Amino acid sequence: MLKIEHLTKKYSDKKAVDDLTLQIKSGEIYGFIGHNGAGKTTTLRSVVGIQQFDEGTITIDGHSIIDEPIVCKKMLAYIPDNPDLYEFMSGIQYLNFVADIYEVDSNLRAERIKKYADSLEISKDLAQPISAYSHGMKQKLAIVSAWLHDPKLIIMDEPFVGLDPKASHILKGMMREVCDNGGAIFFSTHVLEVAEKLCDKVAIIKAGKLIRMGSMEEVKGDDTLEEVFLELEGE
Amino acid sequence: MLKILVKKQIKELFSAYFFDSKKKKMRSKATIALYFLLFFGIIFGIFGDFIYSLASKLDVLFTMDLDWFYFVITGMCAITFSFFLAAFSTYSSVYEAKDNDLLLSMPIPVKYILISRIISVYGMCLFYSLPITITSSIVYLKSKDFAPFICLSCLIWAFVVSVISFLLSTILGYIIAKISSLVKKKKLVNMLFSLAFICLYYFVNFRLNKIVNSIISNAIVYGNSIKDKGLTIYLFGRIACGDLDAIFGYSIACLGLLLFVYRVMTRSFGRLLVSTGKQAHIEYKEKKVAAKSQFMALLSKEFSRFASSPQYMLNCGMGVFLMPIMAVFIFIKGAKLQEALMKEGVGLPFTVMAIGVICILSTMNDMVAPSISLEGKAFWICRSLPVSPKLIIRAKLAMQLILTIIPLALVSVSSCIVFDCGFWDKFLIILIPIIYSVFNSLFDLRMAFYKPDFNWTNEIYPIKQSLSVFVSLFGGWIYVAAFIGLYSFAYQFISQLLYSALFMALTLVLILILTLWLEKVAVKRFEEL
Repeated sequence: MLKIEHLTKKYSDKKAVDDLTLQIKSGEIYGFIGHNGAGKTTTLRSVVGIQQFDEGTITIDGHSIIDEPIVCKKMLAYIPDNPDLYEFMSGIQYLNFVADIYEVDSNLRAERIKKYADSLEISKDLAQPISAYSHGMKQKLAIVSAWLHDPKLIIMDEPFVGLDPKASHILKGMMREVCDNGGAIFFSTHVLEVAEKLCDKVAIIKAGKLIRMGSMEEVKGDDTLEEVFLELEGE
Repeated sequence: MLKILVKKQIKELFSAYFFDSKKKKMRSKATIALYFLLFFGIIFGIFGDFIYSLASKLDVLFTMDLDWFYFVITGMCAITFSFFLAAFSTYSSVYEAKDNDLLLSMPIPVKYILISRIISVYGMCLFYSLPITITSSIVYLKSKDFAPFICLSCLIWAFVVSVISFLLSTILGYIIAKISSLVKKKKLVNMLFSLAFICLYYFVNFRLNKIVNSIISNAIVYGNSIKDKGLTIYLFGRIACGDLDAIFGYSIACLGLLLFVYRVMTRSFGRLLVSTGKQAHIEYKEKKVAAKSQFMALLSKEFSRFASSPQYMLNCGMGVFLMPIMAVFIFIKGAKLQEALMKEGVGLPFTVMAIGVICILSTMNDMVAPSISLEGKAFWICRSLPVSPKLIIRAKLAMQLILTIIPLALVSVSSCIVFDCGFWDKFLIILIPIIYSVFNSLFDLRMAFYKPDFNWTNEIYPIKQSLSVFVSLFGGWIYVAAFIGLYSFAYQFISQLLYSALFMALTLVLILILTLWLEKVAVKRFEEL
């Protein structure tokens, strides 16, 4: 589904991501872990095609994000670390805008908006301007909008930040549902317990380099993910 | 602490001057100074000539020994002009800055936050009043023997003018904030205040010539009446003439008023910032929505943004309101206007003048110029959507074209119905402004790519104070002014119809160049942002 090969991104002379290679298959929830400034967001933004990179290739379902950005973007959805949405729109206007862009027909969008907005409990607030939303509500709206066009690949940067425990639980279920239907999820998180329970595979990045990756069992062995992470960080 | 806050505010106000966003580094001191010089040069270059001619018209007052009256009139003009330009942004920059919450949460005395905000308002008032006060002082000093004390008095007068304008702006901002805290539709209040104010401003501006002529012909009567009944106004004019009583009186009064306004504002500033107002919760009721094409969705998004922000509408879309008013006005009083234009044209043929005036009206719309910066922190949405950047850019351009060409066509059609001129003149009066507005929109779009800033804390910065908006607005004026002005040299060799047709051809070539740029370069630039 997603193939990143030898990805390198430099800011001036500093390498934010250094020769990163990883592959995510359909049906996988892939966690991406690393300390602040390790290169997680840079990698995710490069995958989504909103940031140029210096070397390497990124392909989604065999299509290059550089050569065929629109084909790739149609297959994926992105939720950034900070859900800065169009504050001049109401929640429902924003969802309809996203649905129009992804060419989701009106019946299907109504059905999906109802399904996801109801489960995340923001249906009643959809007529409110986004400027009046709390951080958590914006995050929920960003999640609903990401799920609207039934993407094959969902990229999320710290998706659980700002969500209440119930919404976090629902989001985990939604993530699993995507993967059960043949999709894939690639997300970064600092909540290692969540990653440990939710992810099929995990990659740990340090100073732009992948230092460990594989299935959860391969990466953590008999230890907890937290212990492994802290040990690797200390090296 | 206050110094840090003020520094932050100034840097934010002039971020494009201090920081090179392309190279991602601070500019050198020499470059910063050069940018400021250029900015002031343009401001004085554009307004200086108009103000100089207005001030020169009033210099007959010197021969009547009514020097003070001259300063009353030019001072009032400066106050009106700077108040008009600064008042729009006072409320939003003082009370609606996005970092207000962050600063309030820090251990910073509220008064420091207020001072740092209002200093930038004063900066704006000073900046907008200086072209008038300095130019009118120069006209006055030229007519007198050089005296250092009079020079100093003129400077004090210029300072007093800026303070009065500042006081009025802050009071208006305070009133809007107070009312907004009590009502549900804050934006509507802001919008209504601004619209009422704009109408008043244009009414005065429109009648300025008449007012000035009436003042000149009745100067002694008005002068005596003000002396008898309006001592405050009289003393205001006397400041620049070196009247010590006036200087001290006004200095003390200004200081007192400044202190009073400051006290009132500090008392309520924190309370107004944390006030949530009366917000109505609108419950969503499910309804079926017709799907739109990608382009229509993007276009609707641009319209929603435009309609949601009074600041955006009033600063970048005044043409939308004024052109239909102008169309009606022409329809009713067209004959008289034609007569006036012929007089003002001083030998310039009517068609050139009419085309020029209509084109200038259309330059009041420049909503595409800040449109890229206005994406702000939500720019990631545009970048992550499966649409080509070309479509996004075209939607931005289409908004300005729609909002300009429709009202512009009303003005042109109304002109053609009412004005007394030939078929080809009418044809060009309709066609050239439309072609010009296409060029102007493309030019504004080009400027939108000039150092866009996504990190603003208040939308007023990209809307009003960005270099791209500044160049878009004045660039359009200069182009039209050149069209009108050059004909005063060219009229001996070329007919007005041929001249207008050549202008149209040149504009079409420029449209072609800008379109090529849009197709080839803009998309790449968009992806690099």
